[in-house]
Amino acid sequence: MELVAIEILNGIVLGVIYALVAAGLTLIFGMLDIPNFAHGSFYALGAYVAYTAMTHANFPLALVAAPLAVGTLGLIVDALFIRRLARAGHTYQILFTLGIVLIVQEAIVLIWGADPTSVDVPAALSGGIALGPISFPYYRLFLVAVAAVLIAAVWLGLERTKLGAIIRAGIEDSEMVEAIGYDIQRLFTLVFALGVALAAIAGALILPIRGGQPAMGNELNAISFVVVVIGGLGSYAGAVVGGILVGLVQSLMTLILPSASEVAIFAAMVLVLLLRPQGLFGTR
Amino acid sequence: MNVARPGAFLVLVALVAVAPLVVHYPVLLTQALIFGLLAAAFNLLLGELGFLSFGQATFNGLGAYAAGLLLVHVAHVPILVALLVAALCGAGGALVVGALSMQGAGVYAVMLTFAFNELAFYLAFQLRDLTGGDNGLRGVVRPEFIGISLAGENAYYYFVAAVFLVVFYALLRLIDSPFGHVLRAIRENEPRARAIGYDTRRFKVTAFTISGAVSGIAGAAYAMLYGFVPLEVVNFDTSTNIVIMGLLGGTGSPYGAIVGAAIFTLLSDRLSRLWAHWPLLLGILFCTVVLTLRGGVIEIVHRLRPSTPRRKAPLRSG
Amino acid sequence: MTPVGMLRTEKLCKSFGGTVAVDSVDLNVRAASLHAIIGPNGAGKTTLFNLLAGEMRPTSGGVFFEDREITRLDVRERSHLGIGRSFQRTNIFRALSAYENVRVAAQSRTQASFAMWEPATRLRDVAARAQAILDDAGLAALAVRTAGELAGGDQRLLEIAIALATAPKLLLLDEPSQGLSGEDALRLMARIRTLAERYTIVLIEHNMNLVMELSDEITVMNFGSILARGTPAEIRADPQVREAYLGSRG
Repeated sequence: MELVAIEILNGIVLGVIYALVAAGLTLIFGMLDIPNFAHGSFYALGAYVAYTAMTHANFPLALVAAPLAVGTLGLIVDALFIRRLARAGHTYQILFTLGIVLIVQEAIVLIWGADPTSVDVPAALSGGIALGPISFPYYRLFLVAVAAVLIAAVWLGLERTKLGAIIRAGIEDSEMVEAIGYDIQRLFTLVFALGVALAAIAGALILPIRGGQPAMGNELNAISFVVVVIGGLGSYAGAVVGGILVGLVQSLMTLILPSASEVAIFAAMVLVLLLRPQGLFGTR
Repeated sequence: MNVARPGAFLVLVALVAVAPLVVHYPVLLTQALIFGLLAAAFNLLLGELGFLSFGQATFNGLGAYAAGLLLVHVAHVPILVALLVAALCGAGGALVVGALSMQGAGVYAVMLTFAFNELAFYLAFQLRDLTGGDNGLRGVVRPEFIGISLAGENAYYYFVAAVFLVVFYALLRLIDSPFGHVLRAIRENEPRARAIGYDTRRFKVTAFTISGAVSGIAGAAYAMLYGFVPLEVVNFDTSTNIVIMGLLGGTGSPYGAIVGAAIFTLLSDRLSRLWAHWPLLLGILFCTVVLTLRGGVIEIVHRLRPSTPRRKAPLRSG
Repeated sequence: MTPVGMLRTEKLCKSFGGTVAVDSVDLNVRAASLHAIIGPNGAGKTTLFNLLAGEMRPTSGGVFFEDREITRLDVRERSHLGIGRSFQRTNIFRALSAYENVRVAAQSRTQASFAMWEPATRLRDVAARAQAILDDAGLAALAVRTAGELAGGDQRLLEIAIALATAPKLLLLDEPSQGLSGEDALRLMARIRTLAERYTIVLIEHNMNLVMELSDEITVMNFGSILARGTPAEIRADPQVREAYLGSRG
């Protein structure tokens, strides 16, 4: 029983990370309609930027530096290249982001080395809280709290603020929004950067638990696609619920058949695809 | 447009025949031909059908493991049987993945080919009793062909060359066939293709299946080239490399796949010795091609010869 | 009593959420006639057209073609029964040649489309049909040109030629004159006049000139239902139509 409880908690930790990454992908892909196949690469970059910040400075700085640096990079990439490719169609946007995957992965090897990196959990968050017979690390609690706050904040920002309303209107009818005086393309680029920053901060948060390795982005890329398929393309709630679901399945599978935990989430995706092709929260 | 016109194909036959006399490295040349098959299978989908498949390594891996397991566990398997089994396994896998992936439209389907590739990778990784996991499947023998030993690297090169030419010629015929014409109609405008009465989904899944069969053959040839099947045959990097080769050469012509495979094989061999971080350059080169030269390297040839009838690279998907 | 038509609808309804776009429409298109459907914007013409073409499923009611119920059949299946359609926004195979646009449509009537070895050029009947249709459409000189690079008026004729290549018994034309002006519009009108001699045609159109000139019968829609039907002369004289439609156009 205790083992199950531990794996459920671990599953939630993993799940909120997936949810953060998938929420970012939903902003970019579901809302802006940009098929970003380099999303996992931005997650990996976030982890490595955080690694440098933590080894040279401290953890709070890492949590700020990772999304800021990677978000800025996303801003540049979108403004300079991806937006230009919009007319050429999805295929070329996908292919361009694939090029980014190659560049980022090798750049990580070049800058930080090919070997896996690891950092200690920040001292202030070491130790754990006793939950009955089990102990849950403070850091993981902190991670879940930060992720939950971010996910909620982005959602509130989109649904409840004027800026969010303008962006949503721009997605429906960009000419209309431009006609009333907003530079919608610039706003879209900001949304792109925000989506990328969410992936980066997820990378920074997971670093003390899982460490970093150059190919870590590919794994997250595949998982965030699975999450989006399960949750429903374009649904923010679907991305969050799907992410937590996938984290839980993956985590609980380690109790039943550890070797099949990755296979299980893809099997879950196929199941959803066959039974409900539009995803759990999808409408189309 | 008649891509199966004999001239270009005969030039290809001649080039393949004399290549070992110029480049004295038959293993590398054999690998280039295998990559050429993979890229041609990819280009059939992107160039003709307009479908971007991000999971071509799945079918390469299926072929490699199928032929590998057969040759490890069963004695005296004729080499053509090994290739046939690999083709069937590649096709079967592609039929399932294609039918499921095309449940989604546009980018969604592309994502699914990628996700299924990851599934295949984890399966190959976890089923280590069968596949050897990350140690690879060892002890794949290279049978002889109608009594001719293929143990020598030159002999095996010419065997693979023959297989390559036969398969590539079949693809050229297919591209010119009524079926190939329907694929291009779907690429240009799928709703209209449906409106004039084509069951577009059936055509798409069939093309995907054929592409899987060709990739399976390539996987088997690879397994016999090195005598073992590394886990890499089915991983994301292989799928990425196939996409790169297809795009580098150009999707506007089936010959583009071969140009792309040749450039990629030579570059990765030369550059990787000069600088360990050459994939960085490859990534930059790739992004540049996507941004500026959508027709790939073969587009340059066409630009120099404006009289050549040119088939446009697809600009839309989804 | 009206003779039973080639294409009929019975109490055809389509609603989107709470809005009723097509409300209990009984349409009757006689064989060998040109039947125009007109009405002000938002009258439900396009929805009705989509229901006839098989693009949408009705909420209730039925569609019948040659006395066979086709309500549940999709676009592809209706195409094989002999219903060809053109699109409002030109919908062609842009990177293919004009000839290939028509040829691949003609090929859809053969059993050969899964053949993978013989070149498509061997399908002599298909080639002959495609050429004949291009000649007939006056596009023969443009056959080798890339379809997407043709002039707007030529693209519209090609659009219709693609539908004709599927050898339809019934032709559904969705606002064929949309976006055309001057000579192009006249050329299209002449083309439809020719086709009307050979095909049963259902036409949705805004160009009143064209409708009044060519139609055998007109159905006027307003707010999703049929307001009036009759010959062009009857429709012109109908005070209700004048008020609801012609008048409001001012």
